[in-house]
Amino acid sequence: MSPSGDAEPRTREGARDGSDARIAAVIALLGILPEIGLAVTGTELAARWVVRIAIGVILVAAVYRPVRDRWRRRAAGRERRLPRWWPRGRIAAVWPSLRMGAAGVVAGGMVLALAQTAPAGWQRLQAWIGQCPMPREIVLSVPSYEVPAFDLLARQFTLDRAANRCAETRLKVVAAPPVTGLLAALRNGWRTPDGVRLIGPRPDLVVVESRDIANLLAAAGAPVEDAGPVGYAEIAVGVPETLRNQVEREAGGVSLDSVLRFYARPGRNFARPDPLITGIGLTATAGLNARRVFPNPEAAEDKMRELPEEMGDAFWKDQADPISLLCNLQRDYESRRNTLLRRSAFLLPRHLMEDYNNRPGQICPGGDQNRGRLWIPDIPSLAALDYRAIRPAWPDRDSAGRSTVVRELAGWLRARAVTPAPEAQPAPAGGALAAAMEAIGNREQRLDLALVLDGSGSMQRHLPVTVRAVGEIVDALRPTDRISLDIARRPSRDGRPQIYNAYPSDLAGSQGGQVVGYLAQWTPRDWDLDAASTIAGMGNRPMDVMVIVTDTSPGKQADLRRITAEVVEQATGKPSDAPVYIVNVGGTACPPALRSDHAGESGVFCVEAAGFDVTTALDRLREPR
Amino acid sequence: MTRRRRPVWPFVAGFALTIAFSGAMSFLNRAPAGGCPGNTDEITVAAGYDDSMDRTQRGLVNAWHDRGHTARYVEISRIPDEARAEMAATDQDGACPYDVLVLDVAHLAEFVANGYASPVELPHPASAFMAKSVAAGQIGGTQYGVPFAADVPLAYSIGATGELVSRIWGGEASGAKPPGQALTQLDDYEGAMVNLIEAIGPELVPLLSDPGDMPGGAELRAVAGPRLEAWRTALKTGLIDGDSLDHSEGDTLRAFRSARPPAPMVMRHWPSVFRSLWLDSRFRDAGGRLTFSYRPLPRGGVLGGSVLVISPKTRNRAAAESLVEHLTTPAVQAKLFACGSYAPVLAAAYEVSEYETRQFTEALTCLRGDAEEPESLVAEFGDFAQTVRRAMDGALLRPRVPYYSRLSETFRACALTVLRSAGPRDLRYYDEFADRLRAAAEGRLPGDGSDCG
Repeated sequence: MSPSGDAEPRTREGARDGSDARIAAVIALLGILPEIGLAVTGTELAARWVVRIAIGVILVAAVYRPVRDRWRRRAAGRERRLPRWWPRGRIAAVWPSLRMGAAGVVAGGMVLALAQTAPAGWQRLQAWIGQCPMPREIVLSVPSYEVPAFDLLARQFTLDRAANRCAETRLKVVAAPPVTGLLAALRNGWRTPDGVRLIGPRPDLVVVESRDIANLLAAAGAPVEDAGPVGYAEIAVGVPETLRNQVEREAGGVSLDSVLRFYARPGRNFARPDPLITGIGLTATAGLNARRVFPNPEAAEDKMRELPEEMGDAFWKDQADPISLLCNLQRDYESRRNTLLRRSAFLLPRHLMEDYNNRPGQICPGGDQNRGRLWIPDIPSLAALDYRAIRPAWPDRDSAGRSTVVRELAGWLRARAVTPAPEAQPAPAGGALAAAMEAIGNREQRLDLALVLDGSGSMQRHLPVTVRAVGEIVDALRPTDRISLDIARRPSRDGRPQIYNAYPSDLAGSQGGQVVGYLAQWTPRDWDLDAASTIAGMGNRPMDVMVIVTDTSPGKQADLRRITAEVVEQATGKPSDAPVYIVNVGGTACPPALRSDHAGESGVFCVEAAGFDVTTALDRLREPR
Repeated sequence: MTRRRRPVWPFVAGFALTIAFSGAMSFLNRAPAGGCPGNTDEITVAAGYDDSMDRTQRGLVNAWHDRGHTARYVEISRIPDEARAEMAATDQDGACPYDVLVLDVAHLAEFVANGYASPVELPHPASAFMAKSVAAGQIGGTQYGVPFAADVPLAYSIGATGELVSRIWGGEASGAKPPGQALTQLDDYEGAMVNLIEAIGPELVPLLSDPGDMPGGAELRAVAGPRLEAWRTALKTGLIDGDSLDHSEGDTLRAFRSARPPAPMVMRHWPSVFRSLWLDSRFRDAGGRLTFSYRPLPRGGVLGGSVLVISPKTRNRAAAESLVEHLTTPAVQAKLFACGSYAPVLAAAYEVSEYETRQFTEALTCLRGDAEEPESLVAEFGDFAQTVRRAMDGALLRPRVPYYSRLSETFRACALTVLRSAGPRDLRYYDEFADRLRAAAEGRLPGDGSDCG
């Protein structure tokens, strides 16, 4: 059978059509490569949507000819005409150009994708053939007590993303500032209040203990983006074994309400982490307020502050960390030093209390090797911590690649988060947290202490006493108190008075240790600045108390005994009514007129370093804000 | 029938549009230079916390100005690794990097490998600098860091400690136990690594300097084993204070300052602590003479300190270079030395006796203070300066490999395990030690479970 006259052109056309379709399919497949590249590298491509559309066009083109040919074959022998919907005229005329344009877009996308994926591909290749490529640096900020746990998670995340044990990311886990300082830190560009120093490396991701804390930060204007939930923990009520029998004997059986009301009675209390330092304490307080155990948040605050007030200064510091709080129970439980602590219910994450019960000797330094004796009744939890990740905006170092990794980290953490039990209490709403925070703020007895050191050379002889005195002052401060450090001096014999600010006012919890550390290398070498000029030099700096540590310059022009009247005049005339304590570290006694029993209303007291009861002196000054 | 020609121009147009669109988007997404925080004429200098007296370094940087340009000193953290993390994270992706980094010399190779450091020319003739400081700023023969501050450990002694120093740092392995006790820093941090290098000696450095040719177990055992064993024994017998295993620099200084030992005592520490001992009246006898002495470590101490690195993305390279030149002038280096205890990188700044004639007034004011006999203090400081200079000449450089942090972490984990062991370690242990070092030098994460801590 010989071919018909039009057979050849048809065959040619068919061959052309077939190869076009195959070529189009190959181009489309190649066009998918950028998408595969994106999936592998996780990097953004500016033209990705254009490329997707172009792939769509080419796929249509790939399908178009076979469908058309099939329809034509069916129609052969019958009436050879195109259906009504088939593009005719101009559309049909521009179709080849459109197709070629789409192919151009795909080709461009491929070049871009190649340019973008080649380094990643090369890095992956390097991981197998030689030295690992350098990883991307990411900083993760978490509540201070969670640093060890997140260090382990960071290691796992790094391992999960590693190719041939070459890390793609290098995750640095650092402790976040106290919960009440977080807003200021974010607003202030992660800097100290005076803006001079960063408070550490700026985090790419910050983990806060609750969604509502994240919302409060965002509502207060912090430049952050919500990166989603990353964890969950229940705040349960833990009962020391001492009162377990009494709790169980309470009428109506053991319930959350009965336990809370039992411990709200006189002679009993609640132990919580400091709500101004940790989100646990804040959430637990809001949860307690929500149960209406006390008439109002202020009454709850008054009650709960009784415990640290009775336990003393060290307990204020222990409260800053939930583990230390528990370990305090361990120490006190054995020595039976304190009654109130053993008669208090602990409001802490359930897993921490279980951990403490199971291995107190490991988590508490010098702790009992036996099982911890904290009973966690089988009752609903008090509140929930729905840990949330927030992403601060640092426009100067932001990039698509960094955003992608940070979001992946948040997603990875989310995938490992414990799922809340169905009966779990929800986290307190934002309003409850804000109300709790306000009540805590109203009852806060924070002190702002301005510490001034005499920078004259004669102080070298008294350095050990000075270091000890400063250590005692810092020890007497609570973590939420504030401390600043200034050096009073004259740079030359006839030089102008100078007050050198070594540390601006900041939380004692974070800066106290630095102040003591500074003294380890401090070597006073300048000329005397008398106490009167020092008080005047401090001007109208906001403070609750000024403490000047000096040897009182005996025998010199600045001798405190010679200038007593001027000192009193400056102290009474200064803008604030903050009292001034002159701590004498020298060998000559304080002038009688400035001793506390004679100082009267002047508000300036000279005390010998050895006899200075700093705790009593500071506690007298504490008043609710 | 001829094949129908396809139009080419739509292909070209589509290709060009895609490339152009992507380029435009990248351009728009890039933060404009003007959008960076701070003054555009301001050079940002990133550094760790400056805890020197009166923040000398910060004061010098902030006081600089040149043809309308100023500088701002950004203190990041007291912990060196946190400062490194902030510098690396900011330079990696950002449009507004820190212009100049005051970088710990240990991290220079890593920053060069990452492309965060640009080649620089020394602002003064190389002969004016201390040779070891210049070498510390070079990677692969190219100068990336301009020396800024040097740090080389000394042995600070109370009493006669010659034998003790030779036994601990001189490589002497036998003989009767000398009197006294040594204080070192062996807590698990970078400080322990430099102590371990000094314990083992200069032979260790070339062994760890080529990521592609790390030693095998037998070689490592031959070089490091005897000295690690000597230190393990010294820790057990009390020749080295056992608390050193938990001590960092601050703890050691506190122990030295508070000790009133009947027997001699020697502390390995940096020149920066000299000032606090020198001006402490407890370290002077009735005649006003110093009751402690200092000397270089016999086989060399590890060179620390910092280099000035200019970011390849700096917005104003000329101004950055001008700042770097200013910070390495003899007058500035002398002031940093005398007032801030930063050992200088310029030979001229060690000549304290010439401060007067060269009119380094600020440095002299810091040295004299309110002393009744200021010139004797200046002379004492001059003697100390010459000792530091001698120590600089014999200093050891740490391995300059991109993954130094990981290498150091691995080395000290394994070596500290040896020091804490009840008995000597066998070849099998050193084989694993070597395997882990090889992986760490290539940047690989450690595997699971190991005898190496």
